[in-house]
Amino acid sequence: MKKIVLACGSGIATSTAVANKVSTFLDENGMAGKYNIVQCAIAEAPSQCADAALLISTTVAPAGIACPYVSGIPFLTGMGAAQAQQQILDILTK
Amino acid sequence: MSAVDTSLFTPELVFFDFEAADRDEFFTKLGDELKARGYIKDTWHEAITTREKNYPTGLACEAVQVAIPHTDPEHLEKPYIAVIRPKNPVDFEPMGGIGDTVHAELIINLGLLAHANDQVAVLQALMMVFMDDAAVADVMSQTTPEGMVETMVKYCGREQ
Repeated sequence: MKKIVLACGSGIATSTAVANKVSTFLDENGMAGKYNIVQCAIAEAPSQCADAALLISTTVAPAGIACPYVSGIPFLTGMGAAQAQQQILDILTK
Repeated sequence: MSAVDTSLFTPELVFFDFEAADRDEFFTKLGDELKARGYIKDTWHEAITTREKNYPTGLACEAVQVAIPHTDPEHLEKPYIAVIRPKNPVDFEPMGGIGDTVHAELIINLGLLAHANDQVAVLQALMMVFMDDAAVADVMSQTTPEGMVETMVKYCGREQ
């Protein structure tokens, strides 16, 4: 089970929108049941990421993150979404 | 997914030709409108200004440059969504610090309560609207508050 940390400023609004899109995409690509998403405020991300496979955030990546980071913005704007999806798949399946 | 709570759109919170020279003036004027209608507390203005500085909300979508400023629920009296078309684009910094300054032609201020899934669903629905050229054209061509609410409800309430 891969832990994906999904963060935004408060861990409420934009992270939820991105989380729904990411989980739909992962499930469509054979990843259902192989990951879990933990949403949090970006301030909590460094501790949440200690045992995570990936951080996706709609903010700038904070310092001291122990796992790879992918921007969540493409899931909000549609710009560069395919590339972000591929990055996420690569990180989770490597 | 949760149903979208489209009841948060209201004609009294749709503003056309909203005049603001910059983001500070925008938040001050919008805050006055929201306060007068009982949607926000006195702490809202400082909270949203600080939040926007730390976590900017400009989004350069293909079809439109938008901003979705929001702050924490404790600064709200009741939930709402305000739709503002500024007279001249208002500059917002890009969310996630990626890319250039966003010249927002459409600003949606989300006054959402925490962990109310139907409200977060509105945000997700809005993102689908921003990525849809035809929907954006429809939204941007509206000239009345009632028409804007009807249009937003139409696109945000559809099956995703």
